[in-house]
Amino acid sequence: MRNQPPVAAGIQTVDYPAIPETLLPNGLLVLTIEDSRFPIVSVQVGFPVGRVHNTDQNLSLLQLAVESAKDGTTSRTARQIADQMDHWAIQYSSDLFMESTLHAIRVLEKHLERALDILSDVLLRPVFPEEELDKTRARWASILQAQRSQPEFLATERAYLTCFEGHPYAKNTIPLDHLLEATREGVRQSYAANYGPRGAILLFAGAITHDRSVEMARRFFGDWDSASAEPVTYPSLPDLSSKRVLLVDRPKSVQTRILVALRALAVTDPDMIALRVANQVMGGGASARLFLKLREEKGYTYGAYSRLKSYKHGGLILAGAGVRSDVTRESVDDLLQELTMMATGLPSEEELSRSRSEIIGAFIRQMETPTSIGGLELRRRLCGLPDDHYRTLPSRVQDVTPEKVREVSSRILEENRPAIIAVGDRQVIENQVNHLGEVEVFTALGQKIGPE
Amino acid sequence: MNIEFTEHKLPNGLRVILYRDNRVPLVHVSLHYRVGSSYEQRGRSGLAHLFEHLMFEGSENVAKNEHGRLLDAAGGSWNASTSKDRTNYYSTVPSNYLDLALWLEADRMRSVRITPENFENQRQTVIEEKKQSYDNRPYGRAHLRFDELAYSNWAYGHPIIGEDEDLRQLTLDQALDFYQRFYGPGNAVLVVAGDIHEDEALSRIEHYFSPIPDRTAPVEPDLSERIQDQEKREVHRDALAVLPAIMLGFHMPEYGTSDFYALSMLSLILTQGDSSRLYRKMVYDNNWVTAVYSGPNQYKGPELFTVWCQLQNGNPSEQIYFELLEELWQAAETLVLDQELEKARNNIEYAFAARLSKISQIGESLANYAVFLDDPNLINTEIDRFLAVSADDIRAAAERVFTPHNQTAIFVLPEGGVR
Repeated sequence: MRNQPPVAAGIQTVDYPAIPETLLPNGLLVLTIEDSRFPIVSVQVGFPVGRVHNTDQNLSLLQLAVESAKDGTTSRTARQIADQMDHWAIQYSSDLFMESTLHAIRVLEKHLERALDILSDVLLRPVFPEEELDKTRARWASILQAQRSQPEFLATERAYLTCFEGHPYAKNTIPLDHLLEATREGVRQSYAANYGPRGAILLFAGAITHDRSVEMARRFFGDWDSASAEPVTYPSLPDLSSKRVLLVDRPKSVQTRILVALRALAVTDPDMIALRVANQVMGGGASARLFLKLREEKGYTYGAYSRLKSYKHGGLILAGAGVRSDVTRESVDDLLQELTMMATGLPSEEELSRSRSEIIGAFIRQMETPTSIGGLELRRRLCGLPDDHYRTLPSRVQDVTPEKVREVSSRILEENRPAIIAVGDRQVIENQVNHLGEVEVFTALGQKIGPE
Repeated sequence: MNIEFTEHKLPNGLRVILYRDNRVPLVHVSLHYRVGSSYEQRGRSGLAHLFEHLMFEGSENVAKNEHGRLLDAAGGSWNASTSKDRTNYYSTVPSNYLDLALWLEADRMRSVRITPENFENQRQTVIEEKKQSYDNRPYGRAHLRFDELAYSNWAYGHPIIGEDEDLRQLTLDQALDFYQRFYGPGNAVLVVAGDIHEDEALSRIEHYFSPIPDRTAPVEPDLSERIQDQEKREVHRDALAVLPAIMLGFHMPEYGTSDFYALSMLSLILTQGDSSRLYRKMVYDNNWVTAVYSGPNQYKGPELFTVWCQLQNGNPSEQIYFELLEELWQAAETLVLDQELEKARNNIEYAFAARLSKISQIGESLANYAVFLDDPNLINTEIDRFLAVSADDIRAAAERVFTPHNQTAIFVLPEGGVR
């Protein structure tokens, strides 16, 4: 008879910290997560500005504005900024997301003031020199081309373009011609119109008190007074009442990247927590249904997962795997069947309990460093989630019932039909997906070439 | 900040390292076995990595996939990895699940159970992993080829993931023989870091691991590398790549040697940050490449100092290759500047401070130092080895290593491209 695994005593919990805040007169909100055990401070500046704020005419401008802010200010050249950041080991990053922008630094506490001096210069006084923009544009043109050799990129791009056709959320990738047509004036105006202190959040995390954070914020960001972004007007989401089958031809592929995309819930939807649990049951990890079926039972793939993307007005479930080309059909059919089963059957108590624990466990691990807590807090505020969102997260996860998981899965599948995407060698896989419906065929460059 | 850990050895040979840090109710459990792809025999390439997969296929008291399922149900995260020199298994769990994590590792160290069906299933999984990670990815096959070309010794030259033909022919008996030989407690290092009380944790470790008899008498592989006497160069046509790329490598001494630290500091000067020499010349000033990386790996045996860059469209590989080499030769001829060395030191100081913020990183560092350099206290002292490197050390190491007969290069040229 087998020995049983040891049983744990009690339940571990962590308290989400109280986060002091101060609003500066210019509208900049200053937050601090103090943790003085390590001599490091991270500073994250979040803006409620994202890819959706790009105009339809050019989807590259904000990306260029965010990336190129460090390429010269009124008092420093790009070369000087790089020299100074590297010399003081300032770890700087900037990211443009769908609905937000983040500039972040991490630095040894003893170099914090130097780092803030540079960061504020970059954010408040960028000049976007023409010659720097030329270099960035040329480099990015190559990078955008190289992205198109990646099957995961091609599948995800097709998912957004299909599920959010005509909606700002379709603005997930940059067309090469937009990049080539971007002008310095366009970049400068995009930056000036969007990145001001009102609505922005300056979050300090690590070896710093809130008093000092506020003092630093006043000193380096107190004079900041430029325009902030206007809210985006969102049209209604496109109709997805029929299933679509899409193939991206990638000749000489030795695998097929399959991806089933379903439009899902907005980040603030009350059912979102149940959907997270449902996603965990279906494809959230190596104990979930997709992994067990496609890898552990069938040996079709190295890994099969589903993930959630959630935005203010809608979201996506992306379920997929890289599979052996000759079992593309079986893999897609299995994947679709697993999706359907989420809506028709109840998860077992074991699946539900495990999935809840996985979500709560991941949350506890995120509470390990002040920087990752800061990331959570910024996301909460920029998404418009309630104050007690993280304090109540463990109990809300525990409250999700099997019936609720089925109900939310059913709601997702009833409201929208899936986009079924296969990226691979058309000659090998087209006849493995055409039983699902008419196959729309695209090149890797995004040009539609079928049905002929 | 000093990391105060304790070290213990069980009578069966298991080396145990404990580190207490009660700030968050998490514990990291890491088990490193001193076996990797360099321990494989010819014809059995890929076995160490395949065996890493097989360790999740069940043991006497744990069913297939139950290992991960129980850790997931505890709210933990877990994984494993195989390198040329070692295989590690790790989990981070809420600290009240420490017993579970230990019990699971001990059960499979003592009594792995693999059925022919499960063996076959994981063989297929690994074949698909190879396709996903290498065969279906731009530059993937060239990456596999690079070590094969550079190393004369098969031990480090063959791919960790394995050759296709070997993967198809590996047998369950070979896997079980591998387990018997390499997976005993005497060949392992166990690190438990996080929210523990040392005495209690040690007592639980003894409870689970002490009954396991040692069965290992592994033979260390011969990693000696013949001195390369002429440049090696190949051109690879890649149907999946869009942009050309260059891979360049030079033989150099192993991890832990003074040349390793000197060349690690040089790699920071060459490619760390937008102000680094190669980034500035190759990316920023001239727009020849989209990205450039350099540095040693972290091998027990002979290392390679590698440089990788992806070319921007239209740039000729030969010219870029020469420009890369010129920068390396310069490092062999001229001392790096004081401010470059100070910058590298500042970055080392930051990196050592930053990795102490998570118990998983502390735990993995302790295990790595024990396995690679037999001294876990290097977590506190290795930084001094980096900071002690002088400009003379760097120039002298570069002069020894960056010579024409010591270099290996692969040029990857796109074939077909994206349509």
